[in-house]
Amino acid sequence: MIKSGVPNAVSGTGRRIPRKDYRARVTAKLPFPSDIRVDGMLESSIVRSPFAHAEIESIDITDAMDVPGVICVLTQDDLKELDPYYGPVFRDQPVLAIDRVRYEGEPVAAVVAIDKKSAYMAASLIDVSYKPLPVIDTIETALDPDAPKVQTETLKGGHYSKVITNTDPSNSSNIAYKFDYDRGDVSAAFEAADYVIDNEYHVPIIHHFPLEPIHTVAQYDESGITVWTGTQTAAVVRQDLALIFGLPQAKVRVISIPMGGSFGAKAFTKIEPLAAVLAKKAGRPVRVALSMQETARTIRRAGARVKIKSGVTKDGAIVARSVNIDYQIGAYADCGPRVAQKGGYVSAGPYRIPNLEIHSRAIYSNTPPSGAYRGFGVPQATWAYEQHTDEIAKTINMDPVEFRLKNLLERGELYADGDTPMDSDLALVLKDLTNELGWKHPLKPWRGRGVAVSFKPSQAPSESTAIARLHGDGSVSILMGTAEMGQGSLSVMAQIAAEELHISLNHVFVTHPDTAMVPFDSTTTASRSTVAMGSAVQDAAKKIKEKLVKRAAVLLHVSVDEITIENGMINAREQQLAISEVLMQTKQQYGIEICEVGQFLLTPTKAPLGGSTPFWEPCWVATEVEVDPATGRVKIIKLLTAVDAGKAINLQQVEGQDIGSSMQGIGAALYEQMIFEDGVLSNPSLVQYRVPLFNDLPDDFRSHVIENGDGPGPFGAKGVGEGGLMGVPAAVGNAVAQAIGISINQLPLTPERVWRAIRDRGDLE
Amino acid sequence: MKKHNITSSVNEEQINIDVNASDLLIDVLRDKGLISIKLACDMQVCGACTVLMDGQPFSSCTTLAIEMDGKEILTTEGLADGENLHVIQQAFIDKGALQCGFCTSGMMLSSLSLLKENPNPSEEEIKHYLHGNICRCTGYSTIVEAVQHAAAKQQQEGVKIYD
Repeated sequence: MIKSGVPNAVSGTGRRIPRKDYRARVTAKLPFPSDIRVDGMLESSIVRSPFAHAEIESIDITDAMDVPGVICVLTQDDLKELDPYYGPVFRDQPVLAIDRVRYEGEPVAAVVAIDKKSAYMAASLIDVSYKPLPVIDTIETALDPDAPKVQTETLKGGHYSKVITNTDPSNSSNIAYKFDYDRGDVSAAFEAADYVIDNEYHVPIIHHFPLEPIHTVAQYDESGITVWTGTQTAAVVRQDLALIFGLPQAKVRVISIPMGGSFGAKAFTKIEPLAAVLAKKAGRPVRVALSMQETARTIRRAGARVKIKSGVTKDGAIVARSVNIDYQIGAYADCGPRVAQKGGYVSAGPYRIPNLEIHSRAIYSNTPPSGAYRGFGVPQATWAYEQHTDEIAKTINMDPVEFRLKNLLERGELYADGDTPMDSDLALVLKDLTNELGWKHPLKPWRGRGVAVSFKPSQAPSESTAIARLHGDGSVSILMGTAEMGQGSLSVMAQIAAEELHISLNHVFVTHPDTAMVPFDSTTTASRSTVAMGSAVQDAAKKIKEKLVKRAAVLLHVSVDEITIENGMINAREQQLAISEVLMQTKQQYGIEICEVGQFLLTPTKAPLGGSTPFWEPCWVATEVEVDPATGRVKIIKLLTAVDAGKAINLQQVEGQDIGSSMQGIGAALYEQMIFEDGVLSNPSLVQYRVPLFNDLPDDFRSHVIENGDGPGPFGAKGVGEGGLMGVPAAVGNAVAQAIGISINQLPLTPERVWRAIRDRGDLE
Repeated sequence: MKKHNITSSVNEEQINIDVNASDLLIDVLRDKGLISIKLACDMQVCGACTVLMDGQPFSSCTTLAIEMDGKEILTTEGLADGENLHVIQQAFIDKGALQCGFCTSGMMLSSLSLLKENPNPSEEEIKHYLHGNICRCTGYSTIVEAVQHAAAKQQQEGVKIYD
C-alpha cells in the first residue's frame, strides 16, 4: 500500500495533534472578523448597481441624508482627492464605480449611519439614474470583434508586476491577459501521430461560499489607517491602501483576523478600500459587513472553455498536445490574469509531452471580479485534460489507468524547462489507489469508476520572513504574517518552532498577521505557508537555538557539541538547566531575550512562470459512482484521494484539508454553478446555490497522506490543501461516463444534464 | 415602537429585557456578547446561527426575539462547566471536526439535540439530522465521527450529554 509515515518521525510533528486554537474555537472565545467591534464604530450599507453594464447618469442622495442617524454618504464625487483604484495585477477596480458600472452588484454609493437599520433605510432612498449598455456576459460575446470593451485603459498593479509582463494597457480587446507556451514542433507531431483526438470542455462560474461573509472595520486618523479584516493577503491590502491614500506603508496597519472560511475569496484587496474611505469621510471607525449575497457579488471563480487536442501513437504515447484555455474573468481583473497564467501553464497535465503548445487567456466580462479559488485555475484545466485522457484511452482501446501510468511524469522529469523537476511518484500512487478501489472488479449496472491525476505549482518568486523571540521565562513568541482561515497554520508554525527548539508546544505563541508588527509575507495562498513561512520560522528558531546553546556552553563550561535540549531542559554531562535559568544567568553578558529573524526567499528564475515552484502539489482521485437512470442523479459510492505532504507537520490537519477540498470537488462536480441572466446573478444565496451537504458524503471516503520526507519545507514538508478540488470533478466525470456510456463535457453533472445525456444516447442507438 | 418586556433563561442566567416586536433573536443575543451565534446565510438554510430553545434547535437569524419569552436558551457559551469542556466540545476537538470553526457552534448544538432524541444514532441518522447545518471546510466526515464519539462516551462513561 501507499507509503505513509517516516521511520524517524520527529517527536512533535506529523501526528494528530489537536490544534492550539481548538479549545478557544469550541468555546467561542476567539472573535471572527464579523465579531470585531471598535469603540465609536459606525455601520454602513452599500448601494449596488442593478445593471451589469450601464452609464451612471446621476446620483441623488438628498433623501438619504435626511434619514435620522445618517452620518455621511459616499459617492464617486468623494474619490477625487484619492487615487481610487486597486488590484493585484492591474489597478483597474475603483473604490466605487466611476461614471460607469461594469457588473451587477458593483458598489455605486455607500451610507454611513449610527446603526445598520438607518444605513439600510438611507441606502434604499439613494436615487441612481442609469443608462443601460450592452452586456458582455460570456466568453463568446466578449471575443466578438465588435464587442464593446469592458475595460478601456488599465494601470499596472504592484503585487504581480514582476510575473505578469506581456499586458495590453490600452485594452484593444476584452482579452485582459495572454499566456503562451510552446516547445517542439506541434504541427509536425500531429501529422506523424497515429491518432489525433480533439475535445472541448466547459466549466461554469462558481462561488466559494465561505460560511462567513466578507467583513472589514476601518479607522482613519492622524496616525494613519487601521483595518481589521479577514484577509489572506495583509501585505497586499496594505500596499493597495497606501497607494490609494498616498500614505507610506508604515502608516497603514492591516490586521488579519482569523476568517470563517475563505478558499481564496478573501485573497487580495476586497472591501478594505471602501471601508477606509468611509472611515475617513465619517471621521470615525466604520464597519462594512457584507451579506452572503453581497459576498457572492464581490468575488467568484473563473469559468472556462477548454479546447484540447492530442496526438498519440498506437501504443499509447502522447507525442503532441495543444491546449487553448479561455478563463472568463470579471469586469475587474483582480488576480484573474495570474490565474490564467498559472492554470494555463499546467493545463497540459502532469504528462510527458515532447511537443506542446498552450494558449491561455483571461477574458473580461460584465460579471463580478474573478479571483483566487482553491486550485487557482487548475481545477478548470483538470476537468478538461483528465476527461480528454479517458477519450484518448478509449480511442486507442487502452485501459485509462494503464494509459496514465505510461505517460505520467516520473520523479525527476521536467514538466517545462527551467522549472522544478517532478518531485512525487505520480504513477506509483495512482496504481496503489486504483488497486484499493478495485479498478478491475466487475461493476454493477449503472455504476462507473473513474480516476484523475492533477498537479499544481506553488508560488515563486515569493518571500516570507518571521521573527522568533525567546523570552526570559523560556516561552517563545513567533511574529509572522500567515493568515488563519481554518487551515491550521498558526498551530503548525508553533509546532515547527517547538520542534526545532525542543520545547513544549504549550510554550510557543504565534501572532496573527498585523502589518504593524509582523515582517513581510507575500501571501497566504498557493499552499505555500508550511513550506515558505514554516521555513522562515524554523530558520529563526534555529538561530535562537544556536545562541542559546552558546550561552549554555559558556555557563556550564562545556563545548556546544556536548549540549542537548530535551523538552525545554538544557543537558550537558551530568548537568541540567532550564532554558530560563540559562537566560537569566547569562543576561549580564548577552541580554535577557534572544530575538532572531528567519527568512525564506524564492528569487526569479527562467521558469515559464518567472520563478521555479518550491514543490509540486499533486492530487490523485479514484472514485466509483452510481447513476439513477430514471432521474440522472449521481451518487458517489467511493472516493479515494491521495495527497503528498512530504512530511505532515500535523497529520490531522493534512487529512482534514484533503477531505474538505475533495468535498468541495463533489460540489463542483455535481451541483455548483453561478447562473447569470444578462449579467444579473440569479442564485446568490445558499437557498438557490447548492453546496455539498451531509447527505453528499460518499459511503466510503478516504484520504491517503504520502510522506517521504522529501519536501523543501521544515522536516521534509511540502504544501497541501488544494488537491481534491482539482481532481474530483474529472474523476467523477470519467466515472459517470463509464456508468452511462457517454461523456458529458460540461460541469456540473446535474441530474437533468445526466438524464438528458442518457436519453440522447438512447436516441443514437 | 412598542417595547415588549420578556423574561427568559440564557445559559442558565435569568434575564429580563425590553425588545421591539421586530427584533431578531440573533441580534438580541449577539448584543449580549454571545458571539458563538454566527450570521451567515441569514435565511435559515446554513445552521450557523443555531441556538437551542427549550432543547430544540432554532435558526436565530429568522426567529423573533420575543419568542424567547419564558423559554430556556442554550448557546455554546453555556456548554462548558467552568474549565471542563462539555463532551460534545471535547469530541469535536478529539476528532478534529472543525477547520475555520464558523459553523462549529451550530453543529455542536444540533448534535446535542440529536443525541438527546437519539442517544445512539447511526451514521445515516446523524447525516439526516444535521442536514440543515452547512460546513464548507471539513467535508463533514470528521463531524459525523465526533457525534459518534460523543455518543459512545455517553454510553461507556455514563456522561450526561444533555440536561
